[in-house]
Amino acid sequence: MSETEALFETQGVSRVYRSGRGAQIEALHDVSLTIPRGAFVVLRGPSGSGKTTLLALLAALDHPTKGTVRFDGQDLQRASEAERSRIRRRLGIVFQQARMLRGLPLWENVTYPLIPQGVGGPERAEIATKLLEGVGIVGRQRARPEELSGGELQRVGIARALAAQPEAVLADEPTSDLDPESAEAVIALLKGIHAAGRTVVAASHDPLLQELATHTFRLRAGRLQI
Amino acid sequence: MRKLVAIARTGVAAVLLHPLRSAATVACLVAVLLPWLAGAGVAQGLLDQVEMSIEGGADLYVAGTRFGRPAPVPLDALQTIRGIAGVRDVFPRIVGEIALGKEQLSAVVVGVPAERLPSATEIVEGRLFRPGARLELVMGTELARRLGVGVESRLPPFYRNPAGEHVSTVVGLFQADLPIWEANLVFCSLDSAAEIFDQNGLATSLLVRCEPGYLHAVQTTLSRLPSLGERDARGALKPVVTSREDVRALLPRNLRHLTAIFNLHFVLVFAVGIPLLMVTSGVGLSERRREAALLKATGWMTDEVLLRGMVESFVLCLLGATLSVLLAYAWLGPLNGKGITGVFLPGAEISPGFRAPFRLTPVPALLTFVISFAVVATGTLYSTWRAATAAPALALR
Repeated sequence: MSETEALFETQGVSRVYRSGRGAQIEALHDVSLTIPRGAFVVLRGPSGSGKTTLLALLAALDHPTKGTVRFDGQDLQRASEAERSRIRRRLGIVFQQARMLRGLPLWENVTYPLIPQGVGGPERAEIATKLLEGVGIVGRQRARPEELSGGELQRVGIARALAAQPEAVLADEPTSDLDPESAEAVIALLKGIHAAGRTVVAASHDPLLQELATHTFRLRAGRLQI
Repeated sequence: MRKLVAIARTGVAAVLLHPLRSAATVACLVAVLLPWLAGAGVAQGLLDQVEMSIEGGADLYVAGTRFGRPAPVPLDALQTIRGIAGVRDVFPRIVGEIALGKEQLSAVVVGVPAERLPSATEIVEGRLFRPGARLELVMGTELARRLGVGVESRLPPFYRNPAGEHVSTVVGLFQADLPIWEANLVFCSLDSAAEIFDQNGLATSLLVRCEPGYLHAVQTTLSRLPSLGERDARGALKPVVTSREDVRALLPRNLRHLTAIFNLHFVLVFAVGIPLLMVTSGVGLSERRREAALLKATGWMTDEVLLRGMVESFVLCLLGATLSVLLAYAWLGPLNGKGITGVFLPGAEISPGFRAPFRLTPVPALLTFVISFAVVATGTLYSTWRAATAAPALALR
């Protein structure tokens, strides 16, 4: 694995949203950046600066209005919907709010991404136990998301992001809604993920997370600040 | 294959994952399908009864017409018909409508020889009228209940003829459950019926049974008779011969008409119900949208998300259809078709006083399932497809 090999690359990316009244909001404007494989990238910027939008574009969750987004050399704009899904399988996404399937036990939630890959129930349960233990949730595989605190849920979200053994983890404000103790636990997990050789891209204001960054990109009003 | 089974399982689990959404969809399905299924069951049951009545009847029914209108048949025609080759048996019957009791309940008097009563008629109390006995009546239990009479009850005069007014006696009650067409019947001897209607020496029709293989020949001969009985001062009485097959074609016509109207109404209900069901299937549309987006974001493909939705629809419609069939059985069985029998049997009360006939055949049950699936799958898959084809980032907002 080469540190200089680009895993993510954007060129002149803009994203414009249209409101219901026809107004146009430019969330990103002409953003070009390169994220090397194995990097720990922190996207910084005030609320509304376009961090989440950029993360969604990198994760193939959205399409840019203009410009190119590449993952491992593949142009996401030209990729079919199935190809984009296959790319997402190579990525782990941690949402700002953990976004679990309510009513499903944690072990199911964590390994739901593995179902379309044909991984059987017993194997998934085993993987989930390991992943949940890895994020400090022990003996609660059968608990429901509704029974967990925000910090615990965020750690479960990280476990889910790791379920498919992704090449990169993209985390959107992973510590913003957490108490300091929980935030520290989540940061430690991200640090561990990076230490294991994975690329981490996190959108965050958290100075503790900033300390781990190998690369930092600042956004303001949708523009990348050099 | 293993992957498909695993995805299908998540579809089944999704039913339990959203109990409110699932319950609302199943409830809507049952509300739309249950009355239709019950109606189809009653209609089929009535058709079976018609068939049973026809099978138990004669091979040929001979009536007379004058000026193209029905006219009574003189009993001396019996001799002529008995002489036709291939006729095994012929007997007269008088059928006429009367009104009984203070409420003037409509009943049908059938005058036949006692040995010619329909085989399904089971005397449950009292006895049959004696051959040749006058003014001895046997009526259905339900009619007797409505009139408030029993065996040995005397009915005040309900007809008038030159011989005066007469009191009639109920000598027996028969079970009016099967076939239900006999529910309002009053059986009596031919002589009694002739006296009630003041038509001595006449019958409304003659019932003919033929030797095997002679039906067509007898029918042709009867149709060609210049007159039923001796030609009298009023001229000839033209025969009208109706075969069992003709009856089979004619008798259920009204029922089929009612069934068609009933089905038409349900087409309209479906037309209204389908959008309703689609809305219901989309209950928690935003929830479904977020769920589909979450699955897409974690690497599920659009067709995998759709397969999950389709299995969920399949389970929901299976539940809806099964519940509809079970409830239809309960409605038509223990609840005796309360409220639905009257749709097909004019005059039947909301809570029928007789055992309402029904038969649920596989076809409506299968149709119920197919319609359920079509409706639910359309509702579910459309909303899932929309969510699954949108950019996950937008759907997750």
